[in-house]
Amino acid sequence: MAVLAYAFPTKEENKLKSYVYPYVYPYFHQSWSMFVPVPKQNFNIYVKYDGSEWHDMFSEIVLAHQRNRLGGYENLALSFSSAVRYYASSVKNENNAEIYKGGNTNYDVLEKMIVQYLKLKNGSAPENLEIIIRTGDSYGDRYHSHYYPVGKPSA
Amino acid sequence: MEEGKWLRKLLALFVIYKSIYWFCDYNLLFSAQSIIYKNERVLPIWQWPAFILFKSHSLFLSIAFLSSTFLTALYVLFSGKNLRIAFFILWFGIVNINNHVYCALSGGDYLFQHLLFFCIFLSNNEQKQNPLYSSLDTALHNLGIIALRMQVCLVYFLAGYAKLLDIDWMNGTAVNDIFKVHDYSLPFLYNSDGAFGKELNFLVIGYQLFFPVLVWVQKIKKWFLLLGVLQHLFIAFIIGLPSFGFIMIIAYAIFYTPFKKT
Repeated sequence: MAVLAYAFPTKEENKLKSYVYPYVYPYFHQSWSMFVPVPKQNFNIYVKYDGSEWHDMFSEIVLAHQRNRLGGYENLALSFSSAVRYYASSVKNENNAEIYKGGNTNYDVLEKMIVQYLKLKNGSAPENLEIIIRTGDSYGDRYHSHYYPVGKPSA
Repeated sequence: MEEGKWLRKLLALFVIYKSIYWFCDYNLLFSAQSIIYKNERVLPIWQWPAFILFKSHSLFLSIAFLSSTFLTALYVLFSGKNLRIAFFILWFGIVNINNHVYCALSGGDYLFQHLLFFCIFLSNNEQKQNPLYSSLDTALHNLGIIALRMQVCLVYFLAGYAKLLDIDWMNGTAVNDIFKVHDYSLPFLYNSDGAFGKELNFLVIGYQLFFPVLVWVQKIKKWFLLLGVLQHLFIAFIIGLPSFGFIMIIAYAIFYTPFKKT
């Protein structure tokens, strides 16, 4: 019954869920609102470091996973896909170029992923890393970009 | 007591499949340079056992968790003894690994975790001298089978019900919208707006909502589950969630009832 109260999808915040949460999470945690709400955004994560050109590392991962679904890219693709979605849900839909001053955990999670992934891929930590995260609706008619020069001191 | 035998074997195979990918992605997910973001939030005491791996920075511990789940799965595959203990080890190991690699999880990983838990209740099918132990063993086994079947039915019904509350699913545009999202699609479907997506949209809602009823209708059960297998292969290879697709197909094994000679 507790699991049912916990997992039952509702339009508004379910008060019962907060009561049963301590009993259900983490051992019996479940949520089955699969593809509800329907995802409607595409993402690009452009990176530039060590004097390289800008390139879209998220699309590279997605393409590699599309080429072979059993090719070992599922964990990586899912990690970036989830992290960039959480990030997009935490920022305003407006274009900006900013020096990141902290305070957005969703961005911190994503930035750590990007830095560590590039470190593992290239064998060394990326120097002078700059990141542009672009969010576009899946119909391709609205885009928002956020620019983060990583590690530069705040103005 | 034969019910659940195939599910246990398939779950053990799935643990091996997942373990191989975890070993391949060891640096990415478990090493000191992993992409996992760890916060230092304080956990209530009853949650500690589920986050041993997450809270630890020991490389030895991550290798110990991965190796023990892998070896236990091999044991389940080739041995028929002490399966309750073996499934407890598997469940505990997978709970910890899942909580550690939280960012790489899909809904299928949670189902995987719960199926392992309910398999703890299933019997080894060993003869017991004491009739009390024998009855208790049968009762626990039957409880496990009911819980496993209810869990799978719950997944489908709640997924279908959630779609009834969503305007895009009710308008029939949801599947075509998902095809436009690059990380859940393939390039040839990006511009999909056709009837195929619309028909699939309502087929998915119907299948999920009526699964808990139709899976018990013997006349159509085989074809109904076959349709589900096709649906989950589509999710695995087109939508790009192979682990989710495979675990849903594996879960169907609990509805398999072995043929008995009379």
